[in-house]
Amino acid sequence: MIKTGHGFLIWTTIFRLLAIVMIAISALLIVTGSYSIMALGATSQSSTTPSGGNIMLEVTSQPQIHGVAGQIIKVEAKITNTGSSSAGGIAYISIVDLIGKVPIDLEDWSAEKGLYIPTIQPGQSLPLEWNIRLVKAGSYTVDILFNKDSDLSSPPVSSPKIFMDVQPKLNLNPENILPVAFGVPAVLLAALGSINYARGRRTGVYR
Amino acid sequence: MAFQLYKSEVSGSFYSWRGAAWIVAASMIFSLVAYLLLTDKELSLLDQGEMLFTLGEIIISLGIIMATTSASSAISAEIESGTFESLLLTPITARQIAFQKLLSIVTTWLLLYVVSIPYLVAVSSGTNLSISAVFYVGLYGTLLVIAFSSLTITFSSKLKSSKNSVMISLMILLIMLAPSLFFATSLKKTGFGTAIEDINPVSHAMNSLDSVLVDNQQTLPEQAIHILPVVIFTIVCLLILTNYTRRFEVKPIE
Amino acid sequence: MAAANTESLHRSQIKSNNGIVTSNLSKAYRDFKAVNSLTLNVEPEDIFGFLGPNGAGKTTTIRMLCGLVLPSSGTGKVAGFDIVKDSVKIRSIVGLLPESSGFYGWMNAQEHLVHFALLYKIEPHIAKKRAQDLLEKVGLAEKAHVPISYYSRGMRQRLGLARTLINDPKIIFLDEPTLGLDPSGQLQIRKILLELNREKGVTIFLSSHTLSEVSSLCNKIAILDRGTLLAQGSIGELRKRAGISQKILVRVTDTPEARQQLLNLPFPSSTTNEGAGLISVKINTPIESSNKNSANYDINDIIDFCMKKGLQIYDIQRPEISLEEIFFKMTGLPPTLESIDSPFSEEERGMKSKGARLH
Repeated sequence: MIKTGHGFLIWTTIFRLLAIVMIAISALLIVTGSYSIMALGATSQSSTTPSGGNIMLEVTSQPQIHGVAGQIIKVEAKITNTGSSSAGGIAYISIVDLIGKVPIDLEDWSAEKGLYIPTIQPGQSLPLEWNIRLVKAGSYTVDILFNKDSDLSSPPVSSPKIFMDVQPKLNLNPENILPVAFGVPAVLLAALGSINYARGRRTGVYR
Repeated sequence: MAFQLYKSEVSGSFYSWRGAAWIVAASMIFSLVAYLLLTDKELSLLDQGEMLFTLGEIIISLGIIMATTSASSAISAEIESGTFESLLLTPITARQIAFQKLLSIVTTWLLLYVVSIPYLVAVSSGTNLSISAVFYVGLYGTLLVIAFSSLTITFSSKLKSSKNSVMISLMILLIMLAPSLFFATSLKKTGFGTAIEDINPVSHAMNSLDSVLVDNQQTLPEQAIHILPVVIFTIVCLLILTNYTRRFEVKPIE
Repeated sequence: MAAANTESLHRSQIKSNNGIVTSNLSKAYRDFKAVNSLTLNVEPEDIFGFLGPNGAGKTTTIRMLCGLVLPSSGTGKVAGFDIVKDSVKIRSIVGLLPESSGFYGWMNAQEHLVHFALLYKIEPHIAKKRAQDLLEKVGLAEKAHVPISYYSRGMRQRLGLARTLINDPKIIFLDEPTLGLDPSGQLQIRKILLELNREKGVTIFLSSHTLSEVSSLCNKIAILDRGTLLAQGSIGELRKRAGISQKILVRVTDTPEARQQLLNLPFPSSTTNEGAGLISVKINTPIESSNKNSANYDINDIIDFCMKKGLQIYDIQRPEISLEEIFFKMTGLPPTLESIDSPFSEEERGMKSKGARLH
């Protein structure tokens, strides 16, 4: 009486079951196709324009932004020198996570965090814009700030807040990868398991 | 029969689940990585070329690790299991033993590479990088697998211990992979870092992949500067194997 | 056709010259000398026993002769081929069963033998047939398709022997061939070896610790100790070399007069009361007179003495000096078995009913 390799038998059974599960999931995915939950497209409105001293920051894109994670939106503003002398400085954005209650690291959100304006003449207005990639779902405020070179001790000039609401993007099958991700291991397990099973039958390991 | 040992090695690695386990495990890792990369793409976090490069790096690294661990026991496992004496008694020469074992390891790599092709194609969909990705991953993977396997089989035959030969081989591999996997770009820009990159064949392979997939420099002449060091390294390792496997002796009785 | 003729000429030359000759063969490792100036002569078709304690250098010698290890100095020829220059040719005509033979556990016996046959460049259809025949011969035909990882120690040993014979060798080196085998398996192996020797003229070089096996199979023996050859020749020649005196055993009826007479024996001897009315007398003949004729003369003397003294002889024997005694004497290893005290009495061991030494 030949003793079957008990451990070997268990592993082969596990592999075969895994293969069947993976093939079934792949088939299901191919038939039903991928799906995603899309939020409403971004909407925007105009905003009011506060000022700080002789520099005025005005948000020219919508004050309420609705987007979906992964989307790239544009925030536009206008800086105006309402004073009598020229000014220069850095205009930058700051994003705060309202749910997490932390300012976020702009590393992945925006490539251009700061825009340097060497000089803005009295009465001159310059457009400002930032492309922001919506990395993570949540609620945020976006502030546009300006630090004047000539007056570093004063607080920065701030724009009115822009409220940003990012919906999650749920795509369980990006680029239809799931048939490959499940299918390839499944086919391999099935093929190798069958070869081994056939050999086991031939050698008497499996009855 | 010519290549009888090679045939038996390939059969053995699949019937005993050794080779099969590597291929199945690798395919699961590729599935996980490809899925992660493409979900990142959904968030526009990664450029597609960079995703392909990451996947290519992982395929080649996994291939080299698989080859090194298999090669470390190529000779020493035969000695430890007592089959080596009987093998040496056959007319097959020591060099033929070494090269047929090398060929069986390269065969397992080629299977792993074939398994990786659907993933490369899926991750590169929508770009013109599919063919280049498949070609260059195959080219560098094969060359580096041959090189590291040759070196490790040599250690295995000299040290006559699987444990010692796998340790030394993995240490060499880690030293060569470290710049690509662990060093930040800034570290590689120093004079010393550049020198390491210039002499390290694995760095050349990875930098070439980066250049092809991220910077879109896909032609062979553009990559010649990287291909040549890898080919030279492979030839040197093959020469080491040829020289040190002229004759095998069994371990003395202690 | 020409190649086949050359091959058969090659084999017939080997058959007529399948002996082994070494001259001052030595093997030294870094800090010890495994084999020291070994000069052996194994005639074609001999069954040559190679004895020695553990670590004597037997396995190293076999490996040198098979071309697996290069000698440090000295020369050797196997079937006329030099063990250094012609090791590839030697490997194609010898078979080796090492003491611990390994196998590929995933293979079955049939695959294992065919694999090695193909490595020996035997045609596939011949390889399959030969594998089947050998498995039949060693009693593994029924288990031919079972993976070797399921085999017992004895089954692996038989498979090892089958593999040794797969290339139809003219000289076989066997290192403990019956290790792990039950008595019937041991008998079967011996039968196979004797058949190979008688029917095919195969020279057998047998290294074993089982002295009874060596003495029953081998026509010539060499004894090795610490790498040095102590003696070589037939058992008779070794007996002379060993310098062990021949013993004659006489059993006489136990009477008071007999006891008295036995106290004054003119021969070096020892007596034992066997019980059941018998006294056993072990007489040592002088070494010079250990040849057949002298022993007969001593037996006659003993018979004459017994008759003169009125001792009633129950039986008289002249047992051959065993290979064990020769081996222990030559290697200086302890004991003759007599001086090893068993914790059990002779009664418990079922050897004798009662016993006491008289002196």
